[in-house]
Parts: sequence; C-alpha cells; structure tokens
Amino acid sequence: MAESTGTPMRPVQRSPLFYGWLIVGVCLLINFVSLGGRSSFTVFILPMEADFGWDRGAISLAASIGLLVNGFTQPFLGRVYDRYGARKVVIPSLLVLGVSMVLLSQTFHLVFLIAMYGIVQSVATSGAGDPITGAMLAKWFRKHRATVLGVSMAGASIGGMLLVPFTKYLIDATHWRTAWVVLGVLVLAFALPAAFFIFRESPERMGLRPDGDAETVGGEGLSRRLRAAQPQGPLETGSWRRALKSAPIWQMCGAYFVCGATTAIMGTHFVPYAVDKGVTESTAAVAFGIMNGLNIFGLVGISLISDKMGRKNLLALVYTTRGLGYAALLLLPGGWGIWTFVGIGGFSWWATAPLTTSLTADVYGLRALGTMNSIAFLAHQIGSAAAVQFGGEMRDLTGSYFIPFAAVGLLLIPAALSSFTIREKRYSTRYQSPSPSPAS
Amino acid sequence: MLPVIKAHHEGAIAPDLLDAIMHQIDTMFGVDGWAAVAIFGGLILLIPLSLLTVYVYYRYRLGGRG
Repeated sequence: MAESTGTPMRPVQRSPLFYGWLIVGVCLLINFVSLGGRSSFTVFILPMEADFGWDRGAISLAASIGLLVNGFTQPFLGRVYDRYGARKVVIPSLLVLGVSMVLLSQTFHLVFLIAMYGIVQSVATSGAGDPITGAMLAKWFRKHRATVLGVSMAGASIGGMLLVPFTKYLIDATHWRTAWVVLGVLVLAFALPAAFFIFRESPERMGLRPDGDAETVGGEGLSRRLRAAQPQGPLETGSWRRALKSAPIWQMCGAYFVCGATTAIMGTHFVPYAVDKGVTESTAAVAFGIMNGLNIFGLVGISLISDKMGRKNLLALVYTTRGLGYAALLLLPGGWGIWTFVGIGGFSWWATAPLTTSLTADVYGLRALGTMNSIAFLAHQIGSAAAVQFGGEMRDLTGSYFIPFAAVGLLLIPAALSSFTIREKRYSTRYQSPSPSPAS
Repeated sequence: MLPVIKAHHEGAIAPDLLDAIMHQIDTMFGVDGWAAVAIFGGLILLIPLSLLTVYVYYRYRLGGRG
C-alpha cells in the first residue's frame, strides 16, 4: 500500500502502548460510574421512602420516567455525537450527571426527584452512555472491536457489583443525602477529568491507525487515501434514514428488543418466581448475584471469540443459550431450574451488547454509528419496560409467572433466527476486500 | 406504572432482591458499617487510579502523543 499511494511514507516510532487502550480505560470508567451509579438508585428507595413517606409506586415513577427518557433521548444524542464528536457530548453529559447526583442530595419533594433523576440525569446518562462511547471505540479498533466494547461494557457490570453495595453501606453508615454527594463526586472527580484529558475522537487525528497498526507519516492527503483504501461495505452509509431501509438494522433491533425484555423481567421478578417454586429468598438472591458475576466472563469471552469468528452466529448462539436457560427455569423442578438458569443464562446476560454494536459498525460503518447504536438501544429499552409491566400484570391476572416468563422466553426463538439470518458475509466490512488505491 | 427498575443497561434491580443479596454478603463476609465502606471504596478507587497511572506512564515515560 505504501508504494501505491504515490507519496513516500516513513514509519514513525511506535509507542509500546496503543493510545486506544487509554480510551478503552476511560470508557470503562465512565460506564462504571454512570451506569453503576444509576444502578445504585435501588438502594435509595427504602431510605427515601422512610424519610418522605412516599409509597413504592410514587418513587418508582421517577425510575420509570428515567427509563423512558433515557431510551427516547438516546437517538438524539447519538445524532449529536455523529455530527460533533464524543468530546462535545460525553464531557458536558458527565458534568450534568455529576452535578445532578450532588443536587439529588437536596431532594425535598417528589417532583424534584422526578425532574432531577427522571429527566436531567437520564438525559445526561444517554449522553455518556455506551451507545455513544461504543461508537467512538469502534473508530479506535477494527480487528479487536468487539473485545474492547466488551471490556468497556464490563465497567457497568463491575459498577453494579461494587458501587451498589458501597452505596448501601454508605447510606447505613451516614445518610442517603451523603451517598448522593459521594456518587456525584466520583463522576466529577474521576470520570469527567479522565474524559477531558484523555478522550480523542479518532486515531487518525493523532496520526495513529486503528488497533495500533503500523503508523505512517506521509504527504498531504495521505490519511484520506488510507481511508479510501479501507474496505467498504455495500450498506455503509452516513445516513441513519438510509440504514433504516435495509434489513440488518431491523433484525438487530428486533433481537435487541427481546434482549431487553428477557433480562428486565428477570431483574424484577426473579425472586418472587423462585419463592413461588419453593426456593428460599436468600438462595434466589445468591443465585441472581452469581449470574450477574458470570455475565462479565460471558461478556468479555464471547466478545473475544467474535473478533476471530464473526458476530451474527455468536449473537444467535447467545440468544439460543438464554432461551435454553429460560426453558430450564420453567421446566426443571425447584432449585434445579434456578441453578441451571443461572449457569447457562449468566454467560449470555450482557454478551449481546458488544456483538450488536460491533456488528452495526461492521455493516453500516462509523459515520452514523452513534445514531444507529442509539436506535438499537431504544428498542432494547422499550422491550425492557414492556416486559417488566407485562410480567407484573400477568402475575396478578394468572397468579403465576409461568405465562409471562414463557412468553418472553419464546421470543428468544425469533431473536436467535433473526440474528442468524443476518447476511454478515455480504454486508460486513470484515468480509470485503479493500478498494483499490486511487493513486495506483 | 412500572413497579421497579430494569436490570440490564442501567443495571438496577428490584429493591427486595437487592436487599436479599446484601443480607447474604453480610452473612458470608461478616463485615458491615465503615469497614465495608472502606473495602468497597478502596476497590472503587482502584479503577481510576489504575487509569491515571497508565496515563501518566504513557505521557511522561513513553513520551506518547495525546
């Protein structure tokens, strides 16, 4: 390639550490404090109920509004990212997120909680969310794209494992108002400066290449020619509207809707279901905790494999595995069902996220990836909200979780088929030949 | 109205489930109060401090651009 560009290139001295790994670290930290911090809302519910005399429904309203605001604002912020870059979206969002957490310590009325948590903080979470940081990481890594997305998203899982108990103990030791301040300070003191000082939009802007491949310095316009020599997929586009006219995005969004439904319903109704099956509440809780620990291994392991073997078959396998977990949960007796579900379902819990994001990047390219990721995320959130509501309503109607769990579990079949039938080899840039150099 | 929060991208789970998990942690490790705050707080700080260390090493020892 060097000879064909017509402009002599000379290799520059490579740093032993590719700068992209620092970007991965910042994204992991952002997911850790922002999504982990949001997860901690659960531990505020009981003490805030006690202080203000609110009922569970009232306080859940803030969470429900937050869920919807987060989902519906994500595509707009994804679009802003595509136009202006990550720094102009993520850094202000982290600032607002941290300040809103600190201000939540001053909560005095339910309307304030809804406004601050349900609206302001939810919009900020969208701006610093993994659809946007994932889109930026996709620019930094091509060969290891899914792996770095998996590592980055593991930050949210680790955040849930560490920040939630930390917050609970902090509230027990001090007060819930203090805990909000500490969470806000974590964002403002660590994630915000890290993003400010380390974030760079793309490797090309630093004279680097994705994955830390051999760097070259050449004449004017070289980077443009290098980009032109990259493989182009037939669906690659800078227009999300054009992308929505093709099949793969709908296949991925449909499957992601099911992903949201099948994970959210369990997060809410797992313990009552286990108790219905004769398992003690504490055993069910441990089982759920172990499942959430397993998801980190599934997340990173499957991402690593997908960088070697392709995405869509693994995505289908993940949905199938989760479906088998659902079948075991519903069909095996008592504790056998619970533990089998934990064992085989845990590995699939988060693994869909890096696979979906990396496949979207491979098929549609990077120019509208923020918006495309965000649209898939919206589908996920709608599935989550619908399934939680459906599970509760059906439990009230039928006196059992069997029908709602079976219904969302069966949706995993079309989700797996939808993923399996994506024509990855035809559309993904991973399977395209580089276009001939314009100078040759 | 949604009864509780979701359990995936934002990771929040039902308060009752979380309460039971926390009870199990207390039972298994026998720590609570400020000791637990210090342990979890230390683990939390490891992440940004590790990142800071790598960044400083990259910037000043390797002479990296950025």
